[in-house]
Amino acid sequence: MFTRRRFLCGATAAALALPAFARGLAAEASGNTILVSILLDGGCDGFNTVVPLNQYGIYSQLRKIPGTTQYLSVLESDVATAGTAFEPNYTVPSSSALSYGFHPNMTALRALYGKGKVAVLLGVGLPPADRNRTSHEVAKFDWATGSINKLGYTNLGWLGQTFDAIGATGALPPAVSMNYSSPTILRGAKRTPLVLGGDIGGFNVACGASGADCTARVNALTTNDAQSLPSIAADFARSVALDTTSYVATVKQYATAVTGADYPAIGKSGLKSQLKQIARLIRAGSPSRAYFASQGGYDTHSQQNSPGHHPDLVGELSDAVNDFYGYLAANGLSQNVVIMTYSDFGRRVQANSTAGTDHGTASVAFIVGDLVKPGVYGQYPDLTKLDTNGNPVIQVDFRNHISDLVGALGADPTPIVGGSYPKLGYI
Amino acid sequence: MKRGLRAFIAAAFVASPAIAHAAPATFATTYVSSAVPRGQTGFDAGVDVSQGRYVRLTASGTIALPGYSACRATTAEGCAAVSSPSRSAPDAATGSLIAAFVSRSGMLLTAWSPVGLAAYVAVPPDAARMVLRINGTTGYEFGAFRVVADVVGSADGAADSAVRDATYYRRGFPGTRTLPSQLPTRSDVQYAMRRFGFGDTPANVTAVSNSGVAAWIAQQLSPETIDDSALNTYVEPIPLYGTGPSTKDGYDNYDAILQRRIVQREIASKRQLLEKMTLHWLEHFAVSQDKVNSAAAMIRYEETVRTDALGNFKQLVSDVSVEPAMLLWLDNNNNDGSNVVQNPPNENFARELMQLYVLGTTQLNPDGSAVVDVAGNALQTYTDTDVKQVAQALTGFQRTASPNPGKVDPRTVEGVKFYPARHAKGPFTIMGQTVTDTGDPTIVGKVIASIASNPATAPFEVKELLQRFVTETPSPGYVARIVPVWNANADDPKQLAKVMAAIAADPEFYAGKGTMIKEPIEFAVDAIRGLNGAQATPFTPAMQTPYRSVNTVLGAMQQQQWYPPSVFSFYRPGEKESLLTNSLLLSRWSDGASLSNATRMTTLCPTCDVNLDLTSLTALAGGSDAQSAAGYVLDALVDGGTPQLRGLLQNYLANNVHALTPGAVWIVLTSPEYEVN
Repeated sequence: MFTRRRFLCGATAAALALPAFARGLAAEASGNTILVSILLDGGCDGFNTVVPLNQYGIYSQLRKIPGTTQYLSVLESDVATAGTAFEPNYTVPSSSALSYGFHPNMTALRALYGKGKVAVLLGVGLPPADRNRTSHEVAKFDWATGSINKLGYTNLGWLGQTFDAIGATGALPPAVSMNYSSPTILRGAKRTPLVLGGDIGGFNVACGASGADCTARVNALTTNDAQSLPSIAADFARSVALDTTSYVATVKQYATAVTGADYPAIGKSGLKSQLKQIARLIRAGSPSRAYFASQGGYDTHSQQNSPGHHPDLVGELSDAVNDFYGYLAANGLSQNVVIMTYSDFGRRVQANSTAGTDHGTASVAFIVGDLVKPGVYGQYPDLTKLDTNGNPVIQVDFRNHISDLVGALGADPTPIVGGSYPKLGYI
Repeated sequence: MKRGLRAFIAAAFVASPAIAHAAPATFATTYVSSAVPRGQTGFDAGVDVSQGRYVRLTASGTIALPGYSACRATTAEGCAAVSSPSRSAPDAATGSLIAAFVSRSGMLLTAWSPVGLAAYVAVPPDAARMVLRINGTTGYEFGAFRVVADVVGSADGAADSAVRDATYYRRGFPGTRTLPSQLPTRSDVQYAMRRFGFGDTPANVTAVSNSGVAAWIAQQLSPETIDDSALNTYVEPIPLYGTGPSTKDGYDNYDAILQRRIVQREIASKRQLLEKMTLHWLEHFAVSQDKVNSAAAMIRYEETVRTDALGNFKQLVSDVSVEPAMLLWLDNNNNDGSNVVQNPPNENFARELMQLYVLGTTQLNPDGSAVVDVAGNALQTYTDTDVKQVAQALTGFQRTASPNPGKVDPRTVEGVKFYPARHAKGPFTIMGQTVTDTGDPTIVGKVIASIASNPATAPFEVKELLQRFVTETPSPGYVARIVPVWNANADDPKQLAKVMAAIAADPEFYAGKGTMIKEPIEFAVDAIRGLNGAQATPFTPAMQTPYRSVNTVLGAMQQQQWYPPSVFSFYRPGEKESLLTNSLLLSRWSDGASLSNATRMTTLCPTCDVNLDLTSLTALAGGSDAQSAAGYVLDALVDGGTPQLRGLLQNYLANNVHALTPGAVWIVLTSPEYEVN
């Protein structure tokens, strides 16, 4: 059963396992930290993302696909061939590592880990007191708000509240979404997040005409403030319109200044595209300090290992993060940028009858950047001790994890996560 | 000290005898300033309207800010009529006078503004009083007005017809004594037709106004009584299996036909509410072709949803549950229950069936509020154990697809079969109820009846319907009034039609006006219908709007039909923040408004996949001058719009009405007013 003490012990042990010089390498967090959060949408299977080599027997046994002779588990030999095994001490080479293994498709992230740029958070999730934590809606909402059992009572996200607390001025809002939507995590009481989508060079109004007609149309668009229409929706539409028109010139300026022509190829990857746009904004000097990107497809109820599903997704994630970090580092911009991943929940250990896994609890998270003290935090759940639903026991309450990130941005996490949840100390 | 108060007008009520129907009488009431908390309706007596059917107001007075002088001019509309609102000029207090109907219990029913234009406004059912308030920009305005309110049993059409021309955007009734049975304001009719359909042309709005919008709604609730045979010649035919375009990425593929068909139905069907309900359920039970990957399954799915869209909810859920598209979408296809211990069934469908399709995660009171424990935490409706039980109960179904069916109707290609050997043996325990099992497909109906008997079902579904059709934040009272209708008709084959009838008849229905943002599909279809447009059928590869096809425009606005991003569909019902973000608004301006380039000014554009029909603008608008043209476009798209938008359009059109009409449509489509549903 989860207790805070057990979690603290785990965290302390992990921290102590680090060589002293490694901890000294990390830069200091400061008031200009930029946080890039990546939602692994749908509930990422932690077990096939960070493989428990030190519990391989039970892991593999649980991952046998019922009624077949096949397994959903990652093969030890594939981890060895890919060289993605690792120890809490990031300096241990893959060839001598026996504890854990990144998925074999995550060679890029494994390499970053070896350079001391990655913290791996194990056993993180929503606590048992969180009712319906295996529901996408509830879990995503709770991860976004940093609270439990509050669906319907609040809609403010922990990043939005962070900027409510520390304030932010500037031509663009502090919080920026890259996927067209306005995610709860960014919503604050004070400033509406900026929502972008696609290539930031396209953040503009196409008037559908040319010359004087175009000018006249846009003039009418910007003159009309609909003040005399007494309507909630018109008020809202007007405020979005005023914000949007005021951001267009700034975004265009940034997009023109940094075209990203020297950014690694994104192919058809939506995640790589989102991270590329973020890199352009950061390099152009945008005042924004929190970015939201997402990667869908993790709700792998069936055929989890087929093309386009979990193995390809974590490979894409690994490459996308590596490209992003590499681009920032090459341009001298990585010192204050922290990348973090999170997901609705982990998945059940036992495979189901359709070669997939159902909704679970604990998962893994990655925190990447120069500010990060590398290594392993939390603990891998004991796969011999599952709860009555067949789920592993949470080792790290998500609110401890969020406390580190809120703190890194310069705010007090206590009022935001609704209590004192000691930081894990990876920053 | 400034309080967070919305200034308000209290009434010194002058008692008067109750008004008999068809017996006009006049109240003379002097209103004085008074403040009440923001958002409340006030404690003043107002004017008794319980015996009247229509109200006509004339008002004169001033609006002021505390500590500043009142605005200089005094007119029927207060300051709003003489100066445009400005936040930077506190000494010229601004705002407009709004009238509101209030129920006997003090609930705000509906409000309108500006008053004082001598138009008749219908008294909603259940309205007891009419009160006034000031809609200001700072929240501190107050005012003193002298108001003459005629509360009458019928409107004097002859007197009103003179007013109508001068006050275009707040029309009175047609110049006739044949009055609508209720809802006489034009924007009320437009609102109802937009929420229970996809809007309509000004001419058709007038026709419905004349015959009564209540009659229109009643007819829409019984779609089988509406002759829709013309639709069959309009909607693009489904190609026989194996003869449709097979490319997946080109514009001319099978998906595109499906996408065009649904838009074509929304544009041209006379059964507007049925199409709107179908849209609602297709978003409620969102499935994506991205995973299903079978156009034949999608056609079946759409037709099943439409068949039940105004029928019985349990029937709808049961039918959808065993559709091939749903089996494929949520992994219940071939789900094996023969050995549930060694071989646990897939839980994907079981979980969403309870969470999204029927009752939600938290226990609900009949007014839609959450049931909470002593600590204030919401209580859950079901546990993971219930999910597993439902998953087991629904094992054994398999989608059957003919591997090589030949050139047949694709609807015959997909089917479903039940395999008893792969079905887990019951009975099952679901949320404390025992569900018996006879090892056959009847288990689906039993499981759904059991889940739907949970008290959370009715408030969960009713609230979502209200959020889709009326307002993002329905009042607890509204939910509580509809829930008994839902429950009383739980086994009625026309349950959903009866629920929608109750929603439309509720006194709060018209209070939803101006509270919602259009979905992208409504953005496109409402524009096409309002401007008497049509999609060209059959579609040929050369056809696009001058820029893009309608479905490409929908994709650019992030609502590609048949491709919802997840089981949560595109948006939470009615949620403004998810419907309109910076980037989504820009795509509406740049892509959605490009539909204006399909404006047909003279002859049909043969290469356009849609034509907005303004060929007879002169005749329709009653004049080819800028004022008439602007008025027509505004009436067609934004219920008449605001004086400011009308002025902008008239200026824009002043040079050359016909050459600039597409631009006028563009300006309206990009206005905040048009975003309002």
